[in-house]
Amino acid sequence: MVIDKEYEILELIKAPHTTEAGYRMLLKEFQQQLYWQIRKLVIDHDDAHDVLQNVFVKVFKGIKNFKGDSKLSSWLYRIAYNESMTFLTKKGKQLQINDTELQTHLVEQIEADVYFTGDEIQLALQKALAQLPKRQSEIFKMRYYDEVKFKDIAELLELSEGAVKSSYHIAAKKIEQFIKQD
Amino acid sequence: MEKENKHNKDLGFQVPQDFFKNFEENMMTQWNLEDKLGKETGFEVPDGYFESLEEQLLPVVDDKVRKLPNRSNITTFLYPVLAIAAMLAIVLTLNSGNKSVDIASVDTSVLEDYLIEESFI
Repeated sequence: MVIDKEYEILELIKAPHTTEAGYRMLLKEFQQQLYWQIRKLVIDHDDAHDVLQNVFVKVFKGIKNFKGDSKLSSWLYRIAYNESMTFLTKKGKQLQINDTELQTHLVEQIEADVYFTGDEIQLALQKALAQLPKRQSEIFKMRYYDEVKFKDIAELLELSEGAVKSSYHIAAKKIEQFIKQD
Repeated sequence: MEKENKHNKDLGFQVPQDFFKNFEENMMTQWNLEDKLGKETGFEVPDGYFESLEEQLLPVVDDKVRKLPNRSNITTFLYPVLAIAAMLAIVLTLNSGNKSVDIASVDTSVLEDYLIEESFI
């Protein structure tokens, strides 16, 4: 995403007569990126859709107060991450299961999901991710799939960059081992 | 700390212990994963999902945003509540001898969250 585009979106939203056009541009530019970010965390398509909707509610409500301290895309990523985590916590509470059990539950559902067409190795990856500690799994997904910088992950999770790097490499090794065995 | 001797001729630079060993292992792990897994997740979306997503989201999100209380509504409601809390704190302080209640310790955001959770606002 070019910074100019982000600037254009923010300027459109600021002016009352172009606010809707700004919202439309924001949706167009970020909906897919945010959807896939959320989907990797919540797994199920319908859940990802609901969380995406909540993310844009938060974004539309708060964007006029966005100070531009970070890139717009980083701000959106942070909101999507927080909303996904809130959603998973609520889902765990509803099902009365802990984080690890919830991840296992989500992966079990994948096998019957019409919107998952992964092969054996992709399914094995999801099973491996479900067995990792929550933080390691999140860090792995952000770094491996979304290619988020270690520094940005550290900021998002309020950890040191060294701790994030270390967690990522441990997670990567565990997944490598899991897939070798599977 | 270890010095890498062959290509570092006494310039004083050092690297952390096992840096090169770990670097090599980490790079090989990354290469193995990308080789075996690629970057595809296997997740799909319904046909035409993204084409119609904007039109689906905009009215729903817009409606929800309008229904949310805005900041001024919250503060308008919050100020009388804070005033009552402050008065209660003073009364308790006067009536409790040595015990004192510090109103400054009541965080506004905590009160705000409580009011939202209890559906007062």
